[in-house]
Amino acid sequence: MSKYDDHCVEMLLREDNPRRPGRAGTYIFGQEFKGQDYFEATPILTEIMPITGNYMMMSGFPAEVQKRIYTMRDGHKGGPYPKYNMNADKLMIFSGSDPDNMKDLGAHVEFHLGEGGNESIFHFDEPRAVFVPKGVRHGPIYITQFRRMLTMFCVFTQPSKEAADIVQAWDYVGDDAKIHEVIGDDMSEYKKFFAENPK
Amino acid sequence: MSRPPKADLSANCVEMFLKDPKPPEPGKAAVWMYGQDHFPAAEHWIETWMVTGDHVMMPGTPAGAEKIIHVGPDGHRGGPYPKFHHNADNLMIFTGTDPANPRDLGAHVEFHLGEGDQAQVFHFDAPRCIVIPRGVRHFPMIVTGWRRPFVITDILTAPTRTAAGTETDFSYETPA
Repeated sequence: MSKYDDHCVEMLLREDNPRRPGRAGTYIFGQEFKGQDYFEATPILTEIMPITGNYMMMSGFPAEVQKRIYTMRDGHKGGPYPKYNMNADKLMIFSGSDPDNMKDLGAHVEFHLGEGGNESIFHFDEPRAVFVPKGVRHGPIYITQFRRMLTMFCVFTQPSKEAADIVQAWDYVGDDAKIHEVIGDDMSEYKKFFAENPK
Repeated sequence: MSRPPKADLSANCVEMFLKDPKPPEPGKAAVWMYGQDHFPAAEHWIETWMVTGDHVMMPGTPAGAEKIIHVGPDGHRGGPYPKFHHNADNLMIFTGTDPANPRDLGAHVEFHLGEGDQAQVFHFDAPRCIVIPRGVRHFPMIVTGWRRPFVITDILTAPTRTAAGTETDFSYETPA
């Protein structure tokens, strides 16, 4: 027996059932998630999110949908609102899936970082790394013009979400025009997947 | 709610460096690199690449063969031999590219961690994260039974490879 025999770790695969439009299951590696231990000694938390179609994150609710706060299975409160990581920097790497054309991201990304007079809005269709300093609001992220699978890879400088101290911008109001740009005018899918607790 | 800091965020969307050797390395697409060389506030050195076929990483050279030594632009001496990171922990995350079947890695991986009586050899064909503590030798890595591209993301808890204290074990000999 080697002292390293537990160093090849099966990550948590968080799958929505039914799957959210535009996003496949998320692999998570960290010190804990929903009360489970993964690898206590890890220095960081990572999340790997394959994007499979137009998608948006942290976009708030459009006016026509009742705003709500999700209650997760472990009692944690969440929702599709912009966020602050009060005790962790976060790096979000966007990369494509075409090994013959590594500079093709496969979609267009609009990323909002900061707020008020300090907001920067990044637009890109090539791989990028977005650095989110602790205490800075980030989101929404709008992914449009999807052509090919891409991946969002997040690295937190803390080993767990609890340690990162994530705060939601509950008062953020969704931008109807941007939301429709992502999902079209059929709001039934939006209501089905975003306006109720994640499964 | 906290006040937003006054820092200028306009530089925080970073174009990473693409290491794109010509001809490409067998079984491996070009590598995206991110670290302090590309963004001054970076806290990690990260490389991510797609595996495109069977291959071996850091296989060493057979006993008696001339050693292969690469000298980087920073003077760092490397080569196709197992490594140590003396000042940084290292995560290597392996994920597939089939969103309909996320538990399929797309190939079989054999990964060597540690040495001597602490040597551990991992075999897997589903996504995994390998945790490499600082100071522990790692590699070779052998990819076989390749069916579909998969992604390796390599994270060092240091902002540069120099800060990670990376050392190559030039004494390693490929097993006969």
